[in-house]
Amino acid sequence: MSNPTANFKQVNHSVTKVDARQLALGKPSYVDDFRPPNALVVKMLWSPHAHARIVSMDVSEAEKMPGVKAVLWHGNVPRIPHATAGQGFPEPSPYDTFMFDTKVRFVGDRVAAVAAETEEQALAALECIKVEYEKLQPVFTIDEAMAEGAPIIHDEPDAYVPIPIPYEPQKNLVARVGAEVGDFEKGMKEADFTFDDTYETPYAQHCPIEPYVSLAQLDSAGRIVITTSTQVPFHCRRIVAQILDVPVQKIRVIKPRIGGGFGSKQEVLLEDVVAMFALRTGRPCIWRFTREENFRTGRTRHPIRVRIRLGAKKDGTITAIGMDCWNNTGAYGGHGLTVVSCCGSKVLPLYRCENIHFLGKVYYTNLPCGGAYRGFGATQAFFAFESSMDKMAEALGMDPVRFRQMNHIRSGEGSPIFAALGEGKEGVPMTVGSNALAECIVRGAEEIGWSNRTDWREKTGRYRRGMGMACLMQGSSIPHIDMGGASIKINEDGSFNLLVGATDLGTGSDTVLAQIAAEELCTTTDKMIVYSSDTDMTPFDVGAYASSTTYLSGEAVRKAAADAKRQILHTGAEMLGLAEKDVLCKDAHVQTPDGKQKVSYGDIACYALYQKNQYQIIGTASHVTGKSPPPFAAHYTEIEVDTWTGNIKVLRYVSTIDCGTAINPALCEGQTEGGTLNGISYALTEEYLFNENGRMMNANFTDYHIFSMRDAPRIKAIIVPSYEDTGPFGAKSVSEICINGPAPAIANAIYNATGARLYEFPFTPEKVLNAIRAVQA
Amino acid sequence: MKITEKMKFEFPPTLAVALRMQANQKTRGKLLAGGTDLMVQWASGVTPPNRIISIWGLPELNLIEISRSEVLIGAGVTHARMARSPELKRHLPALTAAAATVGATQIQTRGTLGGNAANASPAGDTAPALLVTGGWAVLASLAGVREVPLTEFWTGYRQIAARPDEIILAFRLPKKNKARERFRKIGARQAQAISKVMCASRMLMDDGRIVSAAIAVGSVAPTPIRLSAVEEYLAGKKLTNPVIAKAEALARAVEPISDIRSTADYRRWATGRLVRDALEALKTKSRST
Ligand SMILES: Cc1cc2nc3c(=O)[nH]c(=O)nc-3n(C[C@H](O)[C@H](O)[C@H](O)COP(=O)(O)OP(=O)(O)OC[C@H]3O[C@@H](n4cnc5c(N)ncnc54)[C@H](O)[C@@H]3O)c2cc1C
Repeated sequence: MSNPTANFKQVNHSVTKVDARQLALGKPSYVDDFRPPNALVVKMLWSPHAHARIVSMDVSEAEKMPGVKAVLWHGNVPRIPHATAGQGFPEPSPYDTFMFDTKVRFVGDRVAAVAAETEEQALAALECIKVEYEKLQPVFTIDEAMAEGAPIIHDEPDAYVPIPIPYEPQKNLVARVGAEVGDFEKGMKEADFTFDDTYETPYAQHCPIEPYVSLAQLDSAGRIVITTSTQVPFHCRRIVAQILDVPVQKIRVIKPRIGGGFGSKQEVLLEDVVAMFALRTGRPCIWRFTREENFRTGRTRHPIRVRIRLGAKKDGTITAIGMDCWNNTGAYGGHGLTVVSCCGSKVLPLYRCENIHFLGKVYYTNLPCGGAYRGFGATQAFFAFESSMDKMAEALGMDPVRFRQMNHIRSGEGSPIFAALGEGKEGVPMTVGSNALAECIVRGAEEIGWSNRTDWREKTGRYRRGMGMACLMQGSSIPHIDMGGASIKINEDGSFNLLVGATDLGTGSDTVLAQIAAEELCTTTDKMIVYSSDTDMTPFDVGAYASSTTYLSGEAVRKAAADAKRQILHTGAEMLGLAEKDVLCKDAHVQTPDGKQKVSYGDIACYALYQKNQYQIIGTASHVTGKSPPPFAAHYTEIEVDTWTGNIKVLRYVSTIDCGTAINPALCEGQTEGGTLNGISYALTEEYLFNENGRMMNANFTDYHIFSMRDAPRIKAIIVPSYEDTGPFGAKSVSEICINGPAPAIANAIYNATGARLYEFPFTPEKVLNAIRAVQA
Repeated sequence: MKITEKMKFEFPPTLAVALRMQANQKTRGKLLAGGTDLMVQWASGVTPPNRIISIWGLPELNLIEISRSEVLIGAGVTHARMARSPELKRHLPALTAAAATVGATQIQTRGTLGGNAANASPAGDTAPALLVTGGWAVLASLAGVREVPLTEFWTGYRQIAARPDEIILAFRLPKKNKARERFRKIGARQAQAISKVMCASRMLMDDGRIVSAAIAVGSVAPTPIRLSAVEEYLAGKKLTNPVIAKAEALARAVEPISDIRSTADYRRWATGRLVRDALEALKTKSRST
């Protein structure tokens, strides 16, 4: 087969990011750069209690404080149940949130907000708000939430879930989802070896450099214009309209450049408040979270308990896989169901097995709220699953790489899980198309020097080295649910306006989409003026999540570009006096195949706009995918354990990745290295520490330890190409998968170094040391 | 509004002026050196003082003097300067190693030895390294200059022996000479990590026996402390495996607390391990940092 990537001129090249220059020069780009001088500053009074009823509240004194223009609290805003999660509509998340409520459900829940001329005035006014709380017994663990007679966190009668899925708030149950394939019990009985282990994964925050920040103002026509740091501008518009009870027509949401999101901004946490203040005061209102607020009130990764039961025959055949997940969604249920569903759907298809049991349950607690976070459930489940795969390999006396090579899914194969598990409904049957996992495994093993790996029992001394690996997959968009739209129009000089709802949040997706458009249009990427995203200007797109932008929005862009190209060919042929079938597009010209007659895109645009048979050459398209092709990856690491102190040093890390065609290889490497480092940090040092009242004690960068540059190990990203027929120019996703590897790969390496198996991370010196002491005892 | 907006800043041009200001209750202010502790404290809710006396850059506090048996380091000397000084590295390797672990580049460039000592955090990284030298803090006031042995300098949790009218001028530290020094820190990550435990040691061997041992640890008690029971036990001993094991066990008698950085159990254990680490290093004659 000829290599389709060989002829690519724009895609599969590392062109410079379209916004690199403006960002490097520090030009106004981000939400706060657009703060008008007369903007009011918003500050929120947060709940100091994990679980309490507001018995009474008096804001009158605060309203009289200097500079205060408005106060919002449950007594003066509409009470409309909604979900803050920015997802498809109707959402697979409960409507369990109110702009302000008479109950607080975690430390950091909203109580009342003030808009004032200055931040100091707003803070001073907060001090004057009198609140009387009736403290309720808090629920801090899944076990407490599930217990008979547990306090009910959502006892309000008006909470409900807008789609037909199980929701039993009186039991603190947010959702339940399961799948049974074959006969799991029978599979376990047929096995020569079985394991039954339970793992715990912790809270984490995304820590984007830019915290949550939103600005709202009324335009001259009285419409509310919200400029906000969001991954989901269209969902934001819809949800704000819902909460404020105003028509969608009245709202415009603009997403400027964004300083990172990683899933945290797939949520509407500030926009309703700034919009309401703008309406009440007629003034621009801005609200920016402090880092502490970002940790406490911002969204987090759901902590999940994962039980893995695994059965295999002596020959290495996997006879049964059981996965039970208990998801702690915190005080509100956004993304609870979909995250736990992805524990199964993004993990279980990786290995062939006829007997699979999956059950995911989601519970409320009085702790910070889980949300979307890069990896989205797969990260949590892969830690458990790939740890158990290593345990099984050892029981079988088989090299862990060999065991995975024997069992992993191949191109052309399906998994019953694809059909069984969807997003709040059944999934979509699918066979895997592109799949370079086999090569990923081999290339990674070579790079790390896997053949030199020795058994932990042969190791002695204080510092012990170990190697570990993990295989991974994810998806690319949510089939039959996610939709992306794009339009593209030509200008007199042959440049194009590419308008997309897809949401570049620092990922480089504007660049990737421009490359795709340029490739399809036979022009160059620098001819694209990309605009994303603005609900008044750009077509709809669900936004940046579910690893969908390149695969889904990219295909919408390719189709829109193809539409524009047809029109260009038509007019070009007309200008040349030839039939359309006798001309083609090449290097920004319409020409005869021999190149003897040609006309430039600029001339074609001028002709179409000014001269004859005038019209606007404009292509537009939408895309919905029928598949969610998994990217694949094999991660390898070599670590050194200081057995005296429990300290772990990651010496080397190899991340191979099959993302189909890498539209922009440099950006793919960036995503891969970034996701890997993000995952290593999550595995080793990040943790939420709570006091006995459920208050996070380390809501700052001093005590919440994300990796520093000095910690960063050598990371080698290896892109292993494949070609996904259903994606734009062969592409599938790259951004999420890489965070799934470090926790299991490092856990497996710790075992290989010391014989200590850890079922819980972060792998702090304290935990590692305890595990090592247990082995040595 | 910036935190510093409400404060009155004084920039005395000389030490003498600064001392005069501190001598009088009315003109006295909070001393500010690099500000890397103070600014963080104010930002996190400690009420900022009204009056600030900046001693940053005062030449009298910025000396490094090396005499035959001692090194005098001004209180205003930064961690970066210490970490980069080959001479200090030769004579006080534990101190320079400790300075090199403080925060990261920016903090080391701004943070001072005097500030680290005066801030008196049990997790101050240079404190154990200062303690094992057996040196003195040199304190100045209008009344004159006095010296306080470092073993008596940290008097309680975040308390030091200096009076409100005194400024730390310098630290007078005996060189290690033939002794060997070592500094090891356990933190949550490689940079910007406050110590879970750290340990400095200075030990002199002669003919296979320990002549003298000074071992100090931080983050395991309200103040940085010397492990005197371990030191006394080691004096005159040969470095055999049982001796090392006994020293490690004795070191575990520390009584740390559990907090957000670590657990009491881990700190006890790690203290023992860091003492073992120092002794093993001595035994194998590896590099003497
Ligand atoms: C991000 C970050 C990371 C850090 N990491 C570490 C770390 O890893 N290890 C560590 O030990 N510390 C660390 N620190 C704390 C701090 O940097 C050090 O303690 C530093 O040495 C303080 O010096 P300074 O000059 O900045 O002190 P300042 O903040 O200026 O002063 C600190 C205290 O000392 C007093 N003071 C200063 N000079 C004198 C003097 N000459 N006489 C009398 N009193 C004086 C001040 O009044 C004040 O009470 C960190 C701080 C930050 C912000």
